[in-house]
Amino acid sequence: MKLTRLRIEQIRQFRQSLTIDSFSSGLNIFAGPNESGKSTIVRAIRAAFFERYKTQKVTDLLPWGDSSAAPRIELDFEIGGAHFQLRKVFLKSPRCDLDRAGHHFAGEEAEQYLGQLLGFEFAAKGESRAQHWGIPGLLWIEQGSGQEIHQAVAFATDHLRAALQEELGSVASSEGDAVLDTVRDWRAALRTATGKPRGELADSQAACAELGDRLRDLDARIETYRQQVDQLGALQADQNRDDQDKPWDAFDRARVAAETKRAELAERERGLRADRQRLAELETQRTLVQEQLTAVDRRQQALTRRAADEKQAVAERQAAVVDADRLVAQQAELIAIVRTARLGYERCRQQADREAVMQQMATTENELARYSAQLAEADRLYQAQSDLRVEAQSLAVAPSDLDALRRCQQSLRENAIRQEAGATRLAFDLDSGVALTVDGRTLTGKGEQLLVRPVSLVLPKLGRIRIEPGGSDLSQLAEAATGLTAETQRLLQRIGVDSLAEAEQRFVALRRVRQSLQEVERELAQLAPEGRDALAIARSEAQSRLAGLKATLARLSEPPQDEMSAMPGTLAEAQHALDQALSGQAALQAQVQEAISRRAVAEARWEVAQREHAELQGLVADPAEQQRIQTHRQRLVDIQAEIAVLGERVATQQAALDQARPDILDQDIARYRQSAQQARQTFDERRIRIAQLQSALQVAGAQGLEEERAGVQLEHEAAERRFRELERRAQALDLLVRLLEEKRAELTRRLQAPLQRHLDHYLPLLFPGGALAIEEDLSPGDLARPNGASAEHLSYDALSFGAREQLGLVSRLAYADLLKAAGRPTLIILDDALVHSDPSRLVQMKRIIFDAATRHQILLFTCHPADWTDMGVSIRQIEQLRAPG
Amino acid sequence: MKILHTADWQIGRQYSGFDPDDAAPLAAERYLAVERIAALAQSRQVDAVLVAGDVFDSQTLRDISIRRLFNSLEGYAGPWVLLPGNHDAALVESIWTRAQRLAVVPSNVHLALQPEAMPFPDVGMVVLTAPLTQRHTFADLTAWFDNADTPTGLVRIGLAHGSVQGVMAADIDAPNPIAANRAETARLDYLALGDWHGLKQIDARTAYSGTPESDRFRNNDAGQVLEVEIDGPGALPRITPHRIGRYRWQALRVDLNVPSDLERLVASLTALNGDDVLDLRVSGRTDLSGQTRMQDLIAATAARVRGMRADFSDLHVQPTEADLADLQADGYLADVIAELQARQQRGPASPPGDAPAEIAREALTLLAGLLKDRQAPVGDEVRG
Repeated sequence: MKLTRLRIEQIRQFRQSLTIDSFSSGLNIFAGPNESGKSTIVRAIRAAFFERYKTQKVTDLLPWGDSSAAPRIELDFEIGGAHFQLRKVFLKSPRCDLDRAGHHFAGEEAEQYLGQLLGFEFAAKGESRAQHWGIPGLLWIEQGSGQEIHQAVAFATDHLRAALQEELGSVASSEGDAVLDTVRDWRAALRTATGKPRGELADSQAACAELGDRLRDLDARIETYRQQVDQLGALQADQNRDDQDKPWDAFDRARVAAETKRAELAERERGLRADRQRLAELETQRTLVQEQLTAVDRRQQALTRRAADEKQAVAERQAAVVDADRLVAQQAELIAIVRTARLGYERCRQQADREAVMQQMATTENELARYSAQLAEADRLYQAQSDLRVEAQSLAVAPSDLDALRRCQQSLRENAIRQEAGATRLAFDLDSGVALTVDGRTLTGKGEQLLVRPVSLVLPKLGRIRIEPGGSDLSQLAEAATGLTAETQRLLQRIGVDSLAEAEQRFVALRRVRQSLQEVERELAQLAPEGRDALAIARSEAQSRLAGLKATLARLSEPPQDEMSAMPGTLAEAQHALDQALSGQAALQAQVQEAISRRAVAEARWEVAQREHAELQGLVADPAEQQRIQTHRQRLVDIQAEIAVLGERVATQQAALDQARPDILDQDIARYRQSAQQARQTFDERRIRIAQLQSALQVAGAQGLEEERAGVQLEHEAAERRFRELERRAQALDLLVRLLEEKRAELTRRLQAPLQRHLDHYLPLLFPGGALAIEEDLSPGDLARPNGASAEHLSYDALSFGAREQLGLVSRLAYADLLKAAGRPTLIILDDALVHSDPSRLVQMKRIIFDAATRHQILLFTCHPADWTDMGVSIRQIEQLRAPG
Repeated sequence: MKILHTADWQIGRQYSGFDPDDAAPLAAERYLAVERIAALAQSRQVDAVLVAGDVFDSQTLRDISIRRLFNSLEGYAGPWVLLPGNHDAALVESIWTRAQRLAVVPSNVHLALQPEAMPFPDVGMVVLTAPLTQRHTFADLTAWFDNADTPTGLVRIGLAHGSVQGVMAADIDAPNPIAANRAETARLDYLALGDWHGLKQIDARTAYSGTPESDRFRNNDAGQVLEVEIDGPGALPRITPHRIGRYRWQALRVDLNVPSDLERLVASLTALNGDDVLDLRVSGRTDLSGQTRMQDLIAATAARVRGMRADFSDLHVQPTEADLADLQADGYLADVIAELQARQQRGPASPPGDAPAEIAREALTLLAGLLKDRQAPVGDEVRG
């Protein structure tokens, strides 16, 4: 499509007509500042196509303040080589005329034709809105809406699809999506997204399961009922048989027979027991007789033994007597030996005692001599001590006195010096013979006198001169000197010396005496620490001890000289010999005692044995005893004969009883009794069980289980049929949804391919390496851009405003290419497009627009003409176009 | 003398495979059939009615069902002899003992609960009974008939329930066997049998009456009772069947191949009425319009007949070009329809895991219906 001429009149700011011709078939750029009329021109073109000529809603076209105007638009354009002239007048006497190569369409017919030609619809009434705009709505970009594309695409999708199909030569389904939606809805009513049953399908499945459970429950109850019936039948049969046969009677009869037999056996057992008792008595008697006979035998044996015993006792007594005599003789020898040993020991001991006393005497004498020497030394020292103390007393001088004396002396010396310094010097040089008297003293010759107090100088014959020393304190000094001198005298007297030097000497002598005294005291302390008296006592004690020892020694007699040679060596050896002799004597003493006691025992035994033997001999020889023995022997023979007879009878009887097994017979009786009891009990219990079963079955039978089951089964089958039908429907819907989606996806892919191709023509210029997906409604989808090794996916809406505007334009150009390829008219109008693009992107977009302009006519309106000077076309200023012409 | 011979009333039987609305009347009809038998006995002035087993369908019916059965006998005051069969065997506790406990057995109704010779001197006959006292037995319960002495001058009639050996089903071990020549060996004038639900005469003196009201899709002359007339001992019985049953159980097998096959099906179905019970199985192939028409027809038939089972699992729906044009299925919808058709053709040979042909047919039907509905509004408006 190519717009060749535009003329508008009485529209907004164009009260006068505006005509634009000489449109180029490619890019046409119109520039002008805001309010210059760019948008009015765009609005006029849109109104010419979209608005119904009859509508009263387009008052926005009116010039300002002129409500009676008749906005008029004239458009000349070419499509596929055919020339069209569109003339449209709105509001006041509205009309629409379309001429196509001599063909004239008027009014609504003209509008319908236009719509089909360009691919848009008209509003049923009122103002045309976006949803009617179709293809032009997509290709004519209004100011500030370049980034919005999805809605425009949605409104144009059908037209785009139609174009695509023409290009593809295939037919898309007109109903497909609606059908698919319905099928999905139907399926969703039966299945969840994950394919699980829901709604009616789930309900009917649950109903099937529930009825199935009920059926199984009923089956189980019916089975129980049947089993109980069978059980009852079997029990009833058994009961009838027992009622007839009465099996317990046979057991009773068998028991009675056994009991009779058992009674016979009991009688025989009693006889046997009596025989056994008699036998036991006989055996007891036999034992008694035998015991008595045995006692006779034992006495005979005892007599023999007693004889032998007596003989042995005689022998033993003899031996004991001999033994005792021998030991008594030995004892006498040993007593002599002991006496000798004791004598030797006594001698040795006395000798040793004497030697010890003499030793002690020597020691004591030494001690005595030492004590005497010490005592003499001590006496000397005590004397010295006493002398020294006297000397010290005589030299005694108090140290305080001495100090005071020393200070007085010192003060006097100082006083004298001060007096001399302050004294009036009286120098005189008297002629010989001349004498002066001063205070009574006579001065002659030459000399000096210091005057410390007023003196009267008597000049002979001249009178007197009184000299008073000038220093005021001289008199005080003199006074002090007097005092000090008096004190010095007092102290010297007290000490008892004449001078300080003498006092010092005495003090030195005193110290030396005291030192000597200390030395003497130290010696004394060493020599007699406990004093002289202690020493004296020790000496007297030693003296008395020595006297004692001498007395002791005197008492110890000297050993007789003749026996000295017989001394058995040392005291220890004598001691040992004595001990041995004593212990030998003790040992022998014990043996002697024992031997004597043995002899006594042996004699006693002999007496007893002799007596016992005699007694027994008497007893055995008694004739009554002999008679008794004879009687016992006869009795024994009789008893044994009776035992033999009775024993045989008992054995025979026992064997017979063993054969008859009374224990087993007892068991038989118990067994038959229990069997009869058991049979009766079984019968009774069975009767109860039958009654129970009958009543249970009556109750169960009245429930009509099988009839109920038949009913439930019908319901179950109906439910299953319903479930199968629904399940089949669900499966069919599954299949339909799957197939519809598959086929639809296949078709969509085929449809999108050409658009993708056109899109790929532009996209690399803007986003090198990028890929733009196409949504199902053919609108742009995710943008994939290389980002390092991977690709970055951005949804269209997530892109920046500028990028969306750029992609929106690229997409529209691709749609235009697609439409063009399908032989559809394309006109692209860009009103103030790409104002949000940065310079580098704008450069790319300009290349893209330039390329598109080689295939499509593009009207570009801008208020930034400087941006578009490099598009190779002249930029027309709206202001200049307004000039009437 | 003449008697009515019937059997296998199966009172309490429920009918599976049908809509519950249909199953209930079918079950109720069995009582009505008994009432019709009583009415027939009355009108034909028979001397007795012998029922050869399976009076009841099961042992544990509700009390009300038992009462209702005995009420249904009221129309005939003459003697009834009811024989327990395998469904209602005379067990130690059975539906019979329950009926006795309920005291609902009228004095003219004789329960043959044990093998016995039941004399009816007024009628001039003696009935030898062979009731089942166990659910199944492999002994011939009629054997004792051979040695049973009965008063001379009375017609000997045997009453038994089981399968005649060598004549009925080939299974040798069939329970409840009856010797094929029992009538002869036991010198019976007539042996009235039950168990086989169809009417079947074994020999001149032996017959199965069948059930008086059909209960299955088998063309075996069910739904009748036998009037048996015997002039005296030794005379051959004259046997006359009477129709009692109301419902006709029809099994219809239709293979659709050419358009006229559908027309024939239409004719068959439109001929059916409320006394028909239908088992329909349609196979072959049809186009969409045929399918639609058939669906309408089936729905109409189901509403008209007493009960219906229908099976279309072997039917393939193949839309024609005209169908598709009619549906205006274009674009990928057309692709889907083609795919569904192809899947139907694959039949059982479809790859495992893939939806079976039946599902494909269902899907195709659904899709076609949906497309048709989407076109419908215009037409509906016109009609509305």
